[in-house]
Amino acid sequence: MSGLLEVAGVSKRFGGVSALNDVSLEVAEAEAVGLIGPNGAGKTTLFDCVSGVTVPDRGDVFFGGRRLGRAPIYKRARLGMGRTFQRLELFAGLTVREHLEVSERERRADGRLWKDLLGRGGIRLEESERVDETLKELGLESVAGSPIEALSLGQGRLVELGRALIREPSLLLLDEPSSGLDSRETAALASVLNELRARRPISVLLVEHDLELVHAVAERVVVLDFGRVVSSGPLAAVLQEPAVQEAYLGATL
Amino acid sequence: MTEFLSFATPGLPYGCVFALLGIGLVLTYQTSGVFNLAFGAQAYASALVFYECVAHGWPKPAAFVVSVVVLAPVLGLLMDRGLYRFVRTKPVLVKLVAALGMLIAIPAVFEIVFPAGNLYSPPSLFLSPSVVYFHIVGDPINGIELSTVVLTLLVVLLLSVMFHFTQIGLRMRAMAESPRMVELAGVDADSVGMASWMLSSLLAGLAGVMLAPVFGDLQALNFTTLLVAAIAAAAAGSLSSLPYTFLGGLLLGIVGELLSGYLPSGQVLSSGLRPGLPFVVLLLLLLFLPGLRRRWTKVNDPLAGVDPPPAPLVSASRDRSLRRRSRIGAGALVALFVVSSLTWVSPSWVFNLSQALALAIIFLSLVLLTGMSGQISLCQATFAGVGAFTAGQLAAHFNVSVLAGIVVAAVVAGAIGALVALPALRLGGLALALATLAFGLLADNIGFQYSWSGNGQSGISIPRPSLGPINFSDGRAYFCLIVVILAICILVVSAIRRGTTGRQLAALRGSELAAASIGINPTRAKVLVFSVSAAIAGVGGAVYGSLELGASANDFNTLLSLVFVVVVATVGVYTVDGAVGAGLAYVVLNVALSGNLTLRWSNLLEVIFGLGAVVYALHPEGAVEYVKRLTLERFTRRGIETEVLA
Amino acid sequence: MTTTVLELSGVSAGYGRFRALFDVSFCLEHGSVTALLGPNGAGKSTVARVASGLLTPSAGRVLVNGEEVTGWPAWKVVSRGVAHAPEGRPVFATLDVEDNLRLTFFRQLPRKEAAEALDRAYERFPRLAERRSQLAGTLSGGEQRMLALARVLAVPPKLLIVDELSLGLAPRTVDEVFRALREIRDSGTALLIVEQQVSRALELAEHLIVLRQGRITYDGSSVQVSDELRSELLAVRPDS
Repeated sequence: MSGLLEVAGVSKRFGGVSALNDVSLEVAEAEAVGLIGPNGAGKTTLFDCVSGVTVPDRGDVFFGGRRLGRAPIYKRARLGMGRTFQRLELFAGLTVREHLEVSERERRADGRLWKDLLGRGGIRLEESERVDETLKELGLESVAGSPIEALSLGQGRLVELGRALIREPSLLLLDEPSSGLDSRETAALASVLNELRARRPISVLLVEHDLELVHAVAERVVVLDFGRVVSSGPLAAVLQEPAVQEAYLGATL
Repeated sequence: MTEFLSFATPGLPYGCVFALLGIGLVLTYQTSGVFNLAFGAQAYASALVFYECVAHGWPKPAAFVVSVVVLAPVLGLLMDRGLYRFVRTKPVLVKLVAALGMLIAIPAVFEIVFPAGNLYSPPSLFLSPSVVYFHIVGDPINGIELSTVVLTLLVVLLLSVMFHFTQIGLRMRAMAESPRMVELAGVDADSVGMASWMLSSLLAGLAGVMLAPVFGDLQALNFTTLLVAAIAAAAAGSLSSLPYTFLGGLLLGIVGELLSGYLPSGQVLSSGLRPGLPFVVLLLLLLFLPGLRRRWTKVNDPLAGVDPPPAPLVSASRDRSLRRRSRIGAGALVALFVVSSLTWVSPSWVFNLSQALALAIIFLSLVLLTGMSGQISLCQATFAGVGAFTAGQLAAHFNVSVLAGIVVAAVVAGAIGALVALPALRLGGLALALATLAFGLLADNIGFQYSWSGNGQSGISIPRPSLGPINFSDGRAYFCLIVVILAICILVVSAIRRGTTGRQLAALRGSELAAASIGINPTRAKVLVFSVSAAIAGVGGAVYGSLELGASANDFNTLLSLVFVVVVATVGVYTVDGAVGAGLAYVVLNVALSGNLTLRWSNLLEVIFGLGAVVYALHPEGAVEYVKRLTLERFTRRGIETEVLA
Repeated sequence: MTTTVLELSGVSAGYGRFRALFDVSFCLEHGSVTALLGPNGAGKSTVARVASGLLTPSAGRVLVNGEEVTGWPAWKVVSRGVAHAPEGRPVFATLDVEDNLRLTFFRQLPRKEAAEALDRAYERFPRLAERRSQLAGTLSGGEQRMLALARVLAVPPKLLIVDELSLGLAPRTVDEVFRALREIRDSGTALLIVEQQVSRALELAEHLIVLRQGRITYDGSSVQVSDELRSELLAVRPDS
């Protein structure tokens, strides 16, 4: 099978510590993969290597068959990667609506300076309609005009999701989306994600601690420990493996 | 080899000077998070008092105690209590502006207190400058050189030990990251902050008294120029390592002397290259020292959430009727202003108001750059100079009309702006500010000295423009033209704010990482806005030069750039009215003070602007915005208390 | 000596023009464990900040051991035996592990005892001993929380406030954090636990305070909680 995202033999060291050691994984078109593992296993580092925050020491990341090399974050976004953040990264001072408008304009990639100077940089009708549509999809219509500071964490995550989705990414990278959410908000997030994936084919790479959410969203999980892939497969099967239980769940199960 | 060494050895004391100031910068940055551009000014204050005491016949030890042991820490204490404790948890750029204010105010205050003319051959601290103690490869080593080297070594050693092996050193280091976390560790953050300011001020005083004799005379400007070398030294130490800062400073001093030894003397390039060297070194360090990147982007305070969020701009309030009414009011005000200027206002005041509006154009470039994209440039006056000289030279040599010259000036300034910003921007706001400072000083010393650019002190002449039959040599006619040009610039800034670029900048201010994650190229957007801002400054400079019928390198020096930043920040850096208000305030104060004061008190203007930084620290939204909010709240008569939960 | 280690009475507080707490009052007993629960944005972290002096309330009083500390700077409140591990990253990222510990240890203890306490801390958290010269910012999330807990152990505080200490941690690491919390409780320290993981918090706590939109909606025993409230707190999914 040809994966949409292919991580091939990636290694990364920080100082003397090896954070990732020859990690390979694939995410196929329209597939949702969960990435789980204990703290310090290298999940965040792997996520950073995929999204372009850091560059691996060895190995490569391929996206849609293209080698990404040292491509910066914004180039990866233009190729079709969208992402959310573990600690909310929202645009302070902008409204919910404006968050989506910025992203929609970037998707169209026709915001030239001379257009601004001719007074043609405002929001266009067709953009406005797409923003409305996305707001509706995520149930954010009621807060569209609110400044971002007035939102709850759960709503903030939905705004991040909307901001990524309006660009129509082929791969969505979700970095611990349940972090800081209560169980009700987490469940709501899971159902939004599932409805979305039912409507259009979109691949998801999900880093998550909350196994409920992983179970609800991902078809397959990859388990990392000490910077190596220790197991992969359907969640239920993986959780039965002694190595995984030892590494990840410890005494709780 | 002997020649090499004989050129290199005199560089040692210079190197120590750079190192000492660089260490002062590192120390303050590490303990308070403030990049203390006023360090040179503090050094100057102690040197001045030491000079005056000795000149009045005091014994040197007594003068030393008063100027260094007493005055310097007291100055540090005053600055901490009066200013820096308010900015302790503020963003890096607010702290930078606060330090800029001090850089401008401190020398001015001391020159009012000690109104001496030229202070030649400052006294040395202990060893005599005229005694040669020994020779190194034939180079005589005199008292100043010897004492500078010994004292610098001693200071580096003592500070390193204190910083890394004592409790107070540990607390000071912790402060830089988060004063609130320090409080949670049970340590009184306020006292630690106070102590570290007193210590760094003491160091500044010591440096000042030691450095003064290295120069022929005692001038505040000498200390400001030294700053770039000190910054380069601090950069060599990645803003954190005292030993590397020391080495960096030393090398810089030696290489500077080598250059002046081997290069042919008597040309602009060789006399300017020594001051220019630190700039080149700084740029190279910014580009090739990867460790710097981490240091310049300060670690976020994990407790930043305790701070109240910045108040939204009044214009962001969505009350439509109020907005319409205020727009009509503003329109009427502008019309009244223009009509008055054309009818009953005296020609000399028409000239003053023209100056104000020309400056407002330059200030507008800061509104675009700082207000909209959160960057700070410390060389807007230089860009204005580039504009003025471009228009002037084109008119003189190619007979180009000044109006066309203004357009070319915008293009040239914009292109140079892009070139300056490109390397520094990758490193973030502070690095950009420092790179622009270095660039400005480089232009002062080299760029504007050539006859084909600013022609140094003598300057060049710039005619008034003419358009077909209309000649703008008449004051009122030119005033109208300036109003039109200002209006065009305002339109450009507003169009950018409302358009794609403005939204990209707003996104980048909120979160650069997230902006990149939706496909915004941060470097491109920032370079673009920096370039446009430089272009606007260039237009302002050309307009200003043409108003004055000429300009020299002095009219656009770097000190002025610093004053510009402080003035605009104080009056209002987020709105167009802030820029216009700043232009008016600057000129009106200037006229009011310089016309009615003796030379001694003419420094008062700088004191006022410098202290404006205190206002800025308390109200970063600026005076104009503050007044608007007060009026708005009085009109609407409701306390806006929104129940938004944290 | 009073029996309450912390008392808030009629406290209102906020950030700038935003108010986060409205007339909040409660008491914590010496040595007790209290869970402070509620949805996001209810003001839980604000309560923690007011209690440790990071935030001065706009109205109301704060008492520690019966002594009024309203408006005191945080370091003075800390000196009365209140320790606070704030949410997010509760360590100095730019200092190494040892300096993080020394900062508090040498503040609270004479030099010799502090050195011994340092050794004891490393004994309890061997992971930290391995990384003593590593910058705290490069530690993993779990190690940072451990460091935050190790720091308060020099002199066991009378009250320890922990804010979302389990946030973003793997189940196994959460176990370790709660084990450490239990040990701190056993040494006589009262705990105020702000948590997202409701059932974990309720396992440890005997006292429960529920906050909603800046107001207290429940204050009492965590055992006699009505089924309705419990299921509401636990919401859709039981913690695994």
